[in-house]
Amino acid sequence: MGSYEIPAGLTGEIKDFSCLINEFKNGRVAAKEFKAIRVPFGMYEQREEGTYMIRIRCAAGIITPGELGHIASLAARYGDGTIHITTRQEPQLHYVKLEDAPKIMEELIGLGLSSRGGGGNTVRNITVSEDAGVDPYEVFDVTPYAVALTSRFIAEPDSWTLPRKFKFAFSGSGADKGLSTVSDLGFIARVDGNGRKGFKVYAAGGMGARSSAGKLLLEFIPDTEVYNAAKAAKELFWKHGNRRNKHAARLRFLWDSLGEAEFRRLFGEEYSRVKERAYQPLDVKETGETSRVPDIAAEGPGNAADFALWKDRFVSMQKRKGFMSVTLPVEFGFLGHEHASGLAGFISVFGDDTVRFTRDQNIRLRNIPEKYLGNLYNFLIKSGVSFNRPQVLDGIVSCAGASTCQLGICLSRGAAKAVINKLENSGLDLDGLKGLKINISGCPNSCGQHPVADLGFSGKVLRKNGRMYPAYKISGGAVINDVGTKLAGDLGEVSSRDLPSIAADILGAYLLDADRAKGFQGFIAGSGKKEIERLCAKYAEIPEFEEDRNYYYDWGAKEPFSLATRGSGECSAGVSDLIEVDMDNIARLQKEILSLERTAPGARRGELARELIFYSSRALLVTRGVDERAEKGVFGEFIEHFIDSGLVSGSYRDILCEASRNDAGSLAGKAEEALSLAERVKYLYGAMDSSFSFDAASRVQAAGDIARPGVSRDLRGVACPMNFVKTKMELSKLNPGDTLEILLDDGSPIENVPGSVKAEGHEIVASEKKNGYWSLLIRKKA
Amino acid sequence: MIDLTEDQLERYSRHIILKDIGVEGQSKILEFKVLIIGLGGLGAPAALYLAAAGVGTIGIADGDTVDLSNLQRQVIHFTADVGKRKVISAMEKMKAINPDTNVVVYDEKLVAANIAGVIKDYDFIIDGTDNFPAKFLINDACVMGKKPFSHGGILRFEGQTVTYLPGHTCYRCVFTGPPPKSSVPSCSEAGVLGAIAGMLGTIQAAEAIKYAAGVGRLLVDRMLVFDALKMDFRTVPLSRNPRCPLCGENPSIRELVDHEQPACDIRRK
Repeated sequence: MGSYEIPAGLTGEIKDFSCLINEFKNGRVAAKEFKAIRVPFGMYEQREEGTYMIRIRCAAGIITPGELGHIASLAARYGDGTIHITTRQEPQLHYVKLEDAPKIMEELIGLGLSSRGGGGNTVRNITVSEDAGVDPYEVFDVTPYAVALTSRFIAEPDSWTLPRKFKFAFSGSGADKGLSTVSDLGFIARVDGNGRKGFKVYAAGGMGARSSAGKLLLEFIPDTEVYNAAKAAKELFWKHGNRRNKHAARLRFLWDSLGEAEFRRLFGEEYSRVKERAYQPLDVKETGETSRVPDIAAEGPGNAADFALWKDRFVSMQKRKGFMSVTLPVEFGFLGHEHASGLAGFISVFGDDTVRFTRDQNIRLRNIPEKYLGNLYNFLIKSGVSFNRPQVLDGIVSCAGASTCQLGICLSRGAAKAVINKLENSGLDLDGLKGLKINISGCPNSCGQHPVADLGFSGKVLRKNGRMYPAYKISGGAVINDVGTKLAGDLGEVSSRDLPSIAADILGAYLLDADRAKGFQGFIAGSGKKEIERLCAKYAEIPEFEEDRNYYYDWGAKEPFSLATRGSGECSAGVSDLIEVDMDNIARLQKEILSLERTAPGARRGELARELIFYSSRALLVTRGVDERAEKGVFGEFIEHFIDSGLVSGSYRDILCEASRNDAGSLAGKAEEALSLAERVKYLYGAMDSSFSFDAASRVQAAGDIARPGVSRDLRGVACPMNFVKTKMELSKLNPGDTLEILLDDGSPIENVPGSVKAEGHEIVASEKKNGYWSLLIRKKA
Repeated sequence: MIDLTEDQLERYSRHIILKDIGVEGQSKILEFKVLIIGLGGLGAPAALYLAAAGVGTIGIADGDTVDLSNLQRQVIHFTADVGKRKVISAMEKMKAINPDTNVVVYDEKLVAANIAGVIKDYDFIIDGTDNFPAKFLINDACVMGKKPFSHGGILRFEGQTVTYLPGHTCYRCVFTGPPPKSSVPSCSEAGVLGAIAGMLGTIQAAEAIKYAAGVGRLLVDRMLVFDALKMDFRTVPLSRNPRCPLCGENPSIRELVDHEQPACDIRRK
């Protein structure tokens, strides 16, 4: 069984999800709506249309041999035969077909695993240091806390409707091997003066655009308070996080926008409120000794010298005497299903607590009795995988980059391969670089985790004579610990082509450095920075395209470098997408109603009006925290949240009641009112601010009117597209920020002109339906 | 800012609707001055589209008369125009399309002695000539006079075009001088697919209009070449040649000369 508990409702949710997949395949559900639901289910569409990736939650990176074997079989049956290990210690299946997804999810439930919350704006997989529980230097094992917090959070629906993703992490000591000081909320184990177990809590750190170290939020909380602190942070984020701009939504942006004092005050409020509710503390189950010493013969290694080298590289002592933990390198995290199932079979005799996924996309075995290391070594030799090259090579972390990621700039994985190749042939003492972290991200968003690297690279674009070429920013010298985490600093930039060479040169200089004993940070702080500047200068000049085209082709690319196919990411499909789906339906129905012939039967008109009222009522409910999607509840919720609160005029109460009674007959004559309700909802959505508040809209209403337009132009009777041409003519005469009012006919003018005006960057301040025509207030773009 | 008339708004509405052109861009086009040298296969479509687009002043220079063999591709001239001066034939069509356009005619061949005086009044020049001496003369005059121009050439099924902006790659950076007389067949010997004249001439017109409105990326420092037989288009990057005899570091060409060797010397019967 999986380490965390599957909540009761999940089986039902997965059934609903299977239905949704069928509806989507039959064209009855829009792609956007489907995406908004499938992404929080941990299911992403890959760059290749119609193929999907499923990410399986593995709290603390724990996987039992049995689960690993089963996931390998899922990868073989439904995927491309490969398990991909992520930097959040969880496995992904790739190239999954839509129709197979429910089967996979059901099988996962059988295993006690779930993909829920794998993606989207959710509580993501909760991570811990990879050696939690076996690290001789840890304060105590944090694994059970990560697992128990997972069980609690995946049963709470608001974990799936956050403004953006939320990453929790635990570390067993001040060395912060779990990156708690670079997470949305991080817990570092400590014991207070009275010997009580507890945690130091860091908040608002994280990697991505504008990476940032976490800030110390609470100096000490007893371990019984973990749930309360985590819950309070989640509540704070749910209520105040920025829901309009997904690029500035993570908790660290909230810290910046509120300021430290206000953030602490609001957190304090939430924390007290949570405490008042007197939740049970986490049900922490100590793992105990689940490993066992099997009754099999210990083998001697086939090759003693190579065995000794392997032990130096990958084997470390555990807290518990006589037991070892062993790192199994997995190049870029791609684990073939045959190797995975072979490994699962081999390792199962040592018990369930033997396998963890690591944050550098490898596998860390644990609880292997020392005398069986020879058996493990022989097994690895037989499995035919590469497992004994210098540790630094397989410690390299790279994101997928532009090969599969829509946001990627550079082909980071190609660059990482080139680095490995270069280092293997460099003649450098690579074993002297054990533990050094090299991280490569294909763009400034830090999926390759370059901000925590000793030596990091992030993709960027440089130009020579106006021609773009792929390049990387170099950063390095990150310090991660409880004393003072400092993210990697900028050190220079280099073309993608020369990245492997400069990496080898930098590492060569480090190996020769007199201060090498101070580690890579010491090197950077000392002579390293200057040395890297010098090396960057050496590689700064690149040849012209005609002289050497290689510089203009990224690693592994067949086409010259270009950003043409860069798109927008899938990660934050969420609430806004749900609203957009309803907004699309509203626009469609408005159009349909307006194009109805006068002679159309009243019943048809009434039915369309009812549908329009339904979508208008539902669209913004989600912003009030109401997750009501079904017909019957929507109208009542709308009255409560929008009419009773004064956001929408009470004059619509009648049509809402008629719609809820499904009284198409009465609505037949009230299509105009339905249209006008839809307009009000659209206006509110336009005026909504980043935390789903309509303050701006209510202020406008209170003032009675919007600022009067500077210029007004009557374009009634002017057909498309001349009405738009004339609008542009008028706008060209105004100063930026000035307003223009235009009057437009109903029908195709009001359907087309506002969109065209917005597409040019101007703002539609208001649109108001008058008697048979529309008034549109436009503010000229700055 | 010109306040456009109702007629103008309507006539140019499909330009104005374009986000990148708008009222502002169209106003610039209305004030723009283009000179088209040569009213053959390339000049004909360019003249028609520029007049239609509302280019304020269009100069047209050609010293020939319309010949029956021209009509296969020079679509501005009609059958009834055979024997007529090309500039007159072209002006009539341009005026018919857009009476607002001011058409200035130069019923003469532009040569070293007169070209500089003509181009100085224009913002952009379109090379629609059919022979190498003329192409080099236009290039030299435009580089010396710091005038943007569009080079274009067609033969059989192939076309090529480059836009020159002062300071960027010129035609002589790539081809230092006219090819030897016998190495290149003339149009009448080699033939040309009429439609590709339209393809290339309209590309030149589009470049002129983009330049006028100040939008997009011009074919500067790159040459567009196409082969209509395979219908294959590509752009070849160009860069300034430091040894260019005209705009290089030690230029050897300091004044305009008329090269001999008209490539199409059999064209005139």
